[in-house]
Amino acid sequence: MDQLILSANELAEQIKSGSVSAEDYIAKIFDRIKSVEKNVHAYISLNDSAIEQAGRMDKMVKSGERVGRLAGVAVAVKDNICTRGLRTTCASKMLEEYVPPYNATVIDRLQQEGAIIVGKANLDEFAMGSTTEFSSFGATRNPWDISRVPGGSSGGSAASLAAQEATLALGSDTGGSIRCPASFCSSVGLKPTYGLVSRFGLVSFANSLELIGPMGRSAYDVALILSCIAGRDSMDHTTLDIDGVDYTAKIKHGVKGLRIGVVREMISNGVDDAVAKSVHDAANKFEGLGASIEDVSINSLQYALASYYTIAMAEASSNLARYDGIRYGLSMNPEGFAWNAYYTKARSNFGSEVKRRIMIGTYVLSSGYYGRYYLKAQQVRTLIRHELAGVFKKLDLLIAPTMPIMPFKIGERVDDPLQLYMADIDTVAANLAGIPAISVPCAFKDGLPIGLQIMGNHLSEELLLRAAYAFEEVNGVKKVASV
Amino acid sequence: MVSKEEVKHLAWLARMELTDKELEVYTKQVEQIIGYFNTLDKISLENIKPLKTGIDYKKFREDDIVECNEDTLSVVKNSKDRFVKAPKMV
Amino acid sequence: MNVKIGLEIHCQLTGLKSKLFCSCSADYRGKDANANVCPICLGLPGTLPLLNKKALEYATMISLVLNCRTPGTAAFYRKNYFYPDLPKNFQITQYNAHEISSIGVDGQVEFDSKKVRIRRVQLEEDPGRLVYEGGMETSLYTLVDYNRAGVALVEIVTEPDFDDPKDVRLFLNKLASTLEHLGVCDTRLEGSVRCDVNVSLAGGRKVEIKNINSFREVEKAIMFEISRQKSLGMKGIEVRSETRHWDDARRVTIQSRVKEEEQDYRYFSEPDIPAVNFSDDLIKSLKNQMPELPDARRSRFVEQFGLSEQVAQVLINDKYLADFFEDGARLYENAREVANWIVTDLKGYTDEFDGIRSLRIKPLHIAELAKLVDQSMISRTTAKQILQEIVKSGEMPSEVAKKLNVAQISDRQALIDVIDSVFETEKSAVKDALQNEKTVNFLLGKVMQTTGGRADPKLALELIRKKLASIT
Repeated sequence: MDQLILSANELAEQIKSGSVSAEDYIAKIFDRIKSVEKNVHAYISLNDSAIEQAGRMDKMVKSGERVGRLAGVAVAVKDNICTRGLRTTCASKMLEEYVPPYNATVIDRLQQEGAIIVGKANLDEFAMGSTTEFSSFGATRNPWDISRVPGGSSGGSAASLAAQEATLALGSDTGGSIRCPASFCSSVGLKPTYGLVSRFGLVSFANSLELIGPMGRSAYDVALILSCIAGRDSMDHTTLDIDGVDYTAKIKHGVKGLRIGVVREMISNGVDDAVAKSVHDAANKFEGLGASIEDVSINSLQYALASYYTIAMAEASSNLARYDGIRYGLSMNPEGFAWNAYYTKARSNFGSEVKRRIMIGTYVLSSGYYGRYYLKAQQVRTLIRHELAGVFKKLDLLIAPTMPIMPFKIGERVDDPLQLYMADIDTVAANLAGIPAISVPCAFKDGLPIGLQIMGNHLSEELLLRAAYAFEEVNGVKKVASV
Repeated sequence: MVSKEEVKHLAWLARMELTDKELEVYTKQVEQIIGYFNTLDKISLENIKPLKTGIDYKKFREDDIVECNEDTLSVVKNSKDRFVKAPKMV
Repeated sequence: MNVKIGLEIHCQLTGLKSKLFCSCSADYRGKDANANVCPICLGLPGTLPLLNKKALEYATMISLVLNCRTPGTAAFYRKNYFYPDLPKNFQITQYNAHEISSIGVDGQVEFDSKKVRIRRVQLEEDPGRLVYEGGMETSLYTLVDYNRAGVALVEIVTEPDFDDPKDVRLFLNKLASTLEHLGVCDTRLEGSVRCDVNVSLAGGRKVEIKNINSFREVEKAIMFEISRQKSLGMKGIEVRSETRHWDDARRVTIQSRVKEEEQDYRYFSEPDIPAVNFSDDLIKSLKNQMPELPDARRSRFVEQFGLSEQVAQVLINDKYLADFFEDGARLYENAREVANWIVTDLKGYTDEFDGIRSLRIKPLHIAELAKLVDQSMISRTTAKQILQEIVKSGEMPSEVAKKLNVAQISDRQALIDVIDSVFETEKSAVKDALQNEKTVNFLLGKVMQTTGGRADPKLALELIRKKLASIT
């Protein structure tokens, strides 16, 4: 079978058994990248030593050494996750030449399991955006239709999967940044429970909302990679005090007897008809598999978007303050500069979306506005948490669309920030509450993918993945585009 | 509602330079977005405290010295005699 | 005059091994520039602060000792502003404009029958250091050393309850000794304690004075500022509310060079550090672990060693002096003699050499010196001379005594001989001494001179009087 579309699980098995050469397969990946990148532009940097690392993997296999669960598998890593010795730009001019001197914890864990990092995937600058159009190094294009956006901010990660330029990917999700591109590119993308996966090495945008999450072309692959990266980390005090689990162990247990709620607010106003229909169809399929379906209303969701952006932008304004060109990043000789002039000149290198968010974040934290905006938003957040906790007392899972709209044309919403923010309306609640949420390919309309979002209570990843897996088994849709 | 002066001040607080054109565009956008945030005014939440789940102090880091093995200073572009060069304070 | 003085003290937790949020060494002094940094304290993208739990313990102990209330939960906040010594362009602290999240609040300290209220005790991180090549005026750039960035600071803020700079000095002495006894801060280390002061006169506007880099300078700075404000008042000029810098070379406060504009620090709670729960058990266990504090130690010195209150007070003002004394008292049982040597003579040298630890003398030296004098082996005068020597050389007093051949002359006959010869040469003085007590001392002085200070003065005086009595 074509190695480029094998699942990670199958690939690792075959590499471990010696029937597939890792070096061979990685070389094929690079050939693929060479041939499609001009149309997709999923990557910012490529890892020059990937093929060599794959070669070493084959040697280890031959000599019978332990090689890990992801032996030889090609992973695309979003370029806001630090990789030692490999340029990490966050798609920003501010970090264009930045080479981290350390690995993010998830990278160490992946490498311990034998994964091969193929390259750093494109994103909206500093993960701020929903289309990857705000990358300072050019937009990524949707492999299903290269005139359209792949979603964002982890657009490069999702596109690499759909375009067969990687087998697995890592993204980050602050308000939907894994799930949105997964939906637009027909991949599986999981935002884990806040604190389940370490943020050490994830360049902060909104640190109380975001985390790193796995992406793949199947629920099983996503479960596999999650098993390798989840669990407490002493380098991140916001990680939960638990060990990771084997998330593939119970993945085939099905959904019989599970109580699933369809979130009313998320399939009403402004939702594309095809999207709404796909959710109803999905609900029917789950019912057919033995789950019970009911309609559920979550009233506080109407405030979720405003609450999310207030908090996210506030945190961003502070997290990005460190980028002043003095210690690292873009190089500007300070000699002769008056101090503040240096700062303002260096920081003019941020893109427009980043500047916008920094200014608004500054506004909502200013004395005089803090109470009305930031504090209020945090209170609303607590309200949403409470309401969701109440819902999960009676229901096991919630389903909804990931995106209320179909993938749109590149450039269509770039000049209307507020309209762009509206696209996140269904994904932000999970980040505010810290609960896990997954997007699985659901349907196609006019050749464009539609994703289904499944949400669960804190630490219910096993349940989510079971549901995603069961759904996949009865709902075959394409995961790989011919680009 | 949100004036150009305010946006100029915001840019200053965040140490960013804006051209006149940018100032105009951003002012409109900031006003629009803050206007959207004002939907939060509709809900009254006096009794709700922002969630602050504390953890036991023992969970934090032990007071040990650990030699840093990473080449931290490799990222510094402007330096002199091991010091980081920064602009002079006025 | 109605003076109001408030203090804002920052002390480094030099007792910690590592920094507040990373495992770099807390001891940054004397290292090459930027040799004591890691990705966390340099604020590299993707790094997260890792709170030092011992810092929490130390801060809580300080808070307890200052009789503060400990709120059940403490949180950290970001104070956002741009400055080259701040790696992240925000400082992680506990103070904020929105709520109380410090480790301790509403405390009180008593000293010298006065009281001062403590507003809060909290943790925060130290920034790096700015250095100018060839001076701030001519340099084209600033050089930054981040070795100190991230070192743990405890901030102690008092209410403006002081009305006399002398009281401030007494309070700071007590505070320094307390911090030393707790083992959390070595106040003698350069830069380990900094004190900002607020001064206002007769209900007028408050002036903040920064850049006072040792407790010793605080009293001087306050006195200058009071007189500056007084003289403005006399000229009918209103005192402006401002921040001034203490120039310790010229001994004046000067207008701040950098305009301290109204800063909007946009405080918000630090998302990377979970809030800290303080259980009653923790507080109890810290109280139990508390080492002996200065007041208790002073009482014990009086009870256990029979020292006077004043002598005990001098000793406990400096923990190392107090430790030195106790070690000495263990080596020689006449504790009062040991204490007196330390408080009267040795202290003069410690003040000159900046602390007892820089001297080459150990408690054993003083114990031996006290013993020699106490057992009349050498005279007190001789002992003082020996002390002057051994402070620099570190030799044992008995060795020096042997070298100088200064064993005290307590031999009656030897003294009688000397006294006889003095009486021969000083005939008119002898006559005078029969009426005039003062001249008896003159004769004693002559005896001491003749014996090179070695005569046992008590015995010599006794013999002189005997001889005088025999003449009449």
